[in-house]
Amino acid sequence: MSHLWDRLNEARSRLEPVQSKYRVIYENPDDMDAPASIMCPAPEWMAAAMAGGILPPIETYQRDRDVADGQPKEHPYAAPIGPMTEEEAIEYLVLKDCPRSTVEYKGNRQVLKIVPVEMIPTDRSFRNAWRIAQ
Amino acid sequence: MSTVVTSNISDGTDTVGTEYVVNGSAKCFWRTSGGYTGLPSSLNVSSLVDNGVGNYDITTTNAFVSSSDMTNISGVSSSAARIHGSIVSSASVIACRVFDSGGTAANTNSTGAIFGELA
Repeated sequence: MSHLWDRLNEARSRLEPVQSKYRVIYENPDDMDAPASIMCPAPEWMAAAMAGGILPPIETYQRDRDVADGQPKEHPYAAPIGPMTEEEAIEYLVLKDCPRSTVEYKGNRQVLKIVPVEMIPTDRSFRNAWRIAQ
Repeated sequence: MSTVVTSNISDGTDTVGTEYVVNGSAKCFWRTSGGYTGLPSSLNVSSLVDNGVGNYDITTTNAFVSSSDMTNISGVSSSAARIHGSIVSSASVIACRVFDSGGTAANTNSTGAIFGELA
């Protein structure tokens, strides 16, 4: 089984980057005074996710969150999974890169939204006041 | 893709061990656009998170062994912004901050690269 790094390099030389039509807006329940965060998937990562045979199962990343710094991690050596649709790739990315407190939030405030990229304002005036509309 | 396996690389005069080339290359890099709304070019990056003015995070696809062994280099693509700092928050997340010459947070496109040993 090749290392994840080798697969990423090979994929970058072979695949055209894919600009996602989605963005993920989220708030961190542990820091409710902070502005909403906007997650943009990396086009090279999106291409790898949609091609398949490159990224490891999401469960390996979730288990590695509990691995102490400096200790061996599972995800670089796990067998890769198959191709994902763009929507499945975004869900995978939410589980991988969003704060755990956001993903596991059980309150009645909406703290995460997957939206078309056109919904993100291009005018960044008052950027630090952005919140998710409730 | 084929693989060249060799222990040394030479230009005919100078010779260097392959491990210096392999270990000396950046294991992650990125360039932002549109404030922090896009990533025109990246390697080993899964996402960019825009946290506000002059404040974004980069998350890697392949984590590093340890946050304490990651060396980061970063810069900005505008002379108006003077400071770009990136802080390794974990073995897979790099927190970046950009300020103008007055010390105020600024939405300026920036670049970064991380060196170190991958997990």
